[in-house]
Amino acid sequence: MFFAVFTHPFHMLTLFLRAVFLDLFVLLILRLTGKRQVSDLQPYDLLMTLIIADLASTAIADTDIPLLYSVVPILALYLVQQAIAKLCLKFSPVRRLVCGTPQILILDGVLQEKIMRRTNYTVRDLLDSLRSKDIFDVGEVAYAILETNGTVSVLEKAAFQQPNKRELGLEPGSAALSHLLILEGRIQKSGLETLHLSQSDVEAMLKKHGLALRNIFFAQMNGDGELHIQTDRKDRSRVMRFSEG
Amino acid sequence: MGFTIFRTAMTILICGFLVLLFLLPSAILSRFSVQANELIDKAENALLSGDREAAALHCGALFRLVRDRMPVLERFLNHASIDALDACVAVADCAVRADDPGAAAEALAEARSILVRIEGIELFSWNNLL
Repeated sequence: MFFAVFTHPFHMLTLFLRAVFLDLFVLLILRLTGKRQVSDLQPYDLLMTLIIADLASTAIADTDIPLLYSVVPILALYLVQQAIAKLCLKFSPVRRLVCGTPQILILDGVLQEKIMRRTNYTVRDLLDSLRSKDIFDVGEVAYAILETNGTVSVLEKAAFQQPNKRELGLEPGSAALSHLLILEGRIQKSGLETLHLSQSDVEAMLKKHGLALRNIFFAQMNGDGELHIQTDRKDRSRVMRFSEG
Repeated sequence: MGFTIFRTAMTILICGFLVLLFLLPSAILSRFSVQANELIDKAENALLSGDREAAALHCGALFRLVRDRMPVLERFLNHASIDALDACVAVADCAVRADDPGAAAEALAEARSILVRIEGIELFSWNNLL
């Protein structure tokens, strides 16, 4: 009697599958555009992303509309975006037109009022951006440049810049990238390949330090052979560092 | 490099898919509307000449045509307009069988106007574009 109510058991399945399909479709399109995060987006790209999201949501919610009503405009927007990206790469005037040009907001410690007014960038916005870069005094800034994606790049005056190892005459050491070797007790093949190691090499290293693979929560190694290990123990001794070079 | 090749390949595929979508649905819709209009004309002529048997035959054929093509048409046309067309054709078919030529003619005229509306919306024209 109760089950007789369910004359069509898959009533919501259409909505579910449409949502899954369009989600995967939008994911594919956004990946094809090549942008990884919102901070990479130019205002134009952001606008495209919002329109694509809106088009997808229309067809998800309204089953009266064929999926093609969303798919075709999304594909069209993708093609337009690709065409504009190609034009921007080849012709700098097009790039200037679509993306704008970087604007200097501070020049040698002096706020550029005219440019700030033109770009609708307030002094408070600029001070916020400087503070987020650990600069609390406008006088320390040689250049502050408003980039086309809305971020502010700052070059401090030479007197306020931190000295680097070369200027201090220190041994530079190597800038070696660390690669993930073990995660939650499992050896990561990509890390092995990059470091030119085999699984038995890693197991031998762990054995040398009295560790078992299953007890390793996280391990990474850099190009100099420095191994950073975190075990699944709960005490302070769970983090270890060895040199295997 | 691999991703760039993949993206270029996908972009070419998307272009091809869009060209296909520009051509195929409009070809299907044009063919369907020619057949449907033909049957509507025949049914209306039969109704005018008082040939109820021929009118019933053509209305039945029209009804079957719409029902047969409905699944394909719904892939690229708004379902509401297809449902409206189907309803009109069903009414015309019933009215002819119930010996009500006035209601049948009215339903056929409505079906024709829906077809014209669908074509006007779906097939490319500069008026629609703006």
